[in-house]
Amino acid sequence: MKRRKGVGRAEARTAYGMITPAMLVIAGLGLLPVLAVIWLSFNQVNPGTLATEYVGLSNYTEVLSNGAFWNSLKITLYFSLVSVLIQIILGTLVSLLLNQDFKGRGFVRAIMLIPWAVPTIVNANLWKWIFNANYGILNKVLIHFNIIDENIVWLGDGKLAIHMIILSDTWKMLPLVALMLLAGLQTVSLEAKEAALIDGANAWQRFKAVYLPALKPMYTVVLVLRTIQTIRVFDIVYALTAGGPNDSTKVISFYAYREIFDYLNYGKGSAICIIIAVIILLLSLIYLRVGKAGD
Amino acid sequence: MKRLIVALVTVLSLLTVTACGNSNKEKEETASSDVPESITVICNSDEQELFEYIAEKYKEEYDVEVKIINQAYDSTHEKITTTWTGGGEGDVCYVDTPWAAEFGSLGITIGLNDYMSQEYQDGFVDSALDQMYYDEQVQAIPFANNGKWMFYNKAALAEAGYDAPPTTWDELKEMSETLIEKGICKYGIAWGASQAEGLMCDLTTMIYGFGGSWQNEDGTFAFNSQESAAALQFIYDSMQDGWADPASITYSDRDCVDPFLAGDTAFVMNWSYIYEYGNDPANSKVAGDVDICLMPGTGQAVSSSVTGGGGLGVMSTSKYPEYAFEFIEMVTSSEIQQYALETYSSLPTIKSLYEDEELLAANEALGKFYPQYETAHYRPLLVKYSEWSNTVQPLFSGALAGDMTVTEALEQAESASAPFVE
Repeated sequence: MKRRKGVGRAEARTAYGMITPAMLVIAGLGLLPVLAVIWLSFNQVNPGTLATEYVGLSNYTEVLSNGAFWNSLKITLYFSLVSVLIQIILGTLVSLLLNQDFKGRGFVRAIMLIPWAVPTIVNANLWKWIFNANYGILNKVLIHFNIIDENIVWLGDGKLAIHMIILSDTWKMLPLVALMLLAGLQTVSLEAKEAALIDGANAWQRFKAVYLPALKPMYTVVLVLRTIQTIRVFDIVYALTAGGPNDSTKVISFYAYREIFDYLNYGKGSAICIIIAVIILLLSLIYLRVGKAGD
Repeated sequence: MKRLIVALVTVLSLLTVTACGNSNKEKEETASSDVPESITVICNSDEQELFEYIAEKYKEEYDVEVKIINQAYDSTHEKITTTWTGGGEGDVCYVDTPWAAEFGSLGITIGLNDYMSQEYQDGFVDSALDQMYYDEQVQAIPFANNGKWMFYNKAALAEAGYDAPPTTWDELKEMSETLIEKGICKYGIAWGASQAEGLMCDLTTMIYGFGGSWQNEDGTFAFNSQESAAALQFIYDSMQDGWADPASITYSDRDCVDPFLAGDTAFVMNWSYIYEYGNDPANSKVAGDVDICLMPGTGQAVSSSVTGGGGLGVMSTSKYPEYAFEFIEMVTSSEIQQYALETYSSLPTIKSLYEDEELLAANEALGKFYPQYETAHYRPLLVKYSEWSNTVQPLFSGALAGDMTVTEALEQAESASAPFVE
């Protein structure tokens, strides 16, 4: 018994030794910047000398009492909610389609990834031209099919612009969502599918009874992942609208970006970043809880 | 073992956080007697070609490489501030006209008074150098005099029966309507009306052109006026009435050039580079037909424009400020200024070139550009200009997009501007 314990301890020491370098890298690149930002959020920082002055919670009260912050948060949460909902619904449909057996399925599954592989900034500029009121293909196609009579300024209307950003983001991220859900569908056994067919279940019944249980764990993963990504969204907004028109697409990351990199308010900007992180953490915990409760 | 790893990580974290707290940006001792291997210049992508040309000459003269970091104008301010804060490579940086006070107050750029002889200083066009002061120190040397002019398609106007460009905004409106009616152009003009710094430049032109102003002499803001309201309303109505491109609300002041170069609009307000660029067949469908005129006026002002261009400053983080200043001196030399004029329509900042009759005779455009300087106005000279501009841009852009009335936008902008009064 003593000899087995000794062997176990030795193995554990080796294991910890092997993961230590990775943990140090994670701590250095991940944990330390977070700790530094938390610390900065409680300070006023001189951008010239980087000298700090502890100010307690005043950066947080300044941010939370600023209407512009709540406006940006509202826009961000709307963007996140609508994007994630659309992508989960469409992703489910696409994954179910790709789960079918058809000729060229492998090829289709492969080329589906192309939008996701396009860098976000390239994607944004691509859609900027598609949405161009005078030269964009969207207006040309819609006018050609008599869906609209005259050009629509897609990115010039505050109510439309955010939805155009959602559309651009969905085009890029849908393949990722679909493939993740497709992975979940691979766990459905052939016997379960055949049993449902033999029992005479219709498509909706088969989806509910056979596919949905397999998709549920992946829904939790997709929800958490895409919520984090959509709340942090920045580059597509920067490239498409720069937060306009009239700040109607000024998401929270863009707001933080302006504070930190334009106005050099490091303390206030750090406070905004921490608030974003806390919101993401809370939402993730809620999703995980709900996902677990459903099991 | 597990406890050891946790302890190690915790200690490292605490050390780093403590280091952050005690960190002060210490100026490293500059080894000014040493010759650097290279210096770094941060500029806009507009200047890339010109600066690459100058870099070759600099290398020949000083045997020092010049690394050029360039990006689109809208990203340059952040590039400079992040480079400076992070202690990155940066010796010379672009300083737009409204940034001089900000950079000077933060210490991003150093005062250049001691680097300049009186003769050198006196050689600059007064209005160009005057914008570059903070606390009685020159923060940047102007290298490109600029402003906005009205460019027009003379062939389109001729086809519509006009033998001269408009002198007032009402005339421009009338010409636009005629051009559209005759099917010569889709619109008369496209504005750069999106939420960006270009909008502030164009509003400077329009507000002063309608008899308004940004600031009073005591520095308080004066733009919430009937005159400014008339200017904004004019732009808004032009898009609603259909003689200006309604997509203007999505255009920056660079994007609005595209319809002009495609021949879809007959007028565009823009920087001097359009003259060469627009007349180059490689870039433009209207090459050969692009001409310049004074910005139109109203009964309140004969004409009005905005100053622009920018200067080059020496960053306080530069280890070789003397070499950095040598680069700036080269950029502002008579030879390079003349080259820039002939190649890129970059207008000189030194007086002597405007008095050179041979140069004036050889460069027809120079004579056309110069008169606009007499009616060019500054954007507000504020230490926190960038923050102020980003605060009011959404309001003005929102008014032009129809999200609020012009009156509401001006009132909200006035209220939001109060903390920035110096």
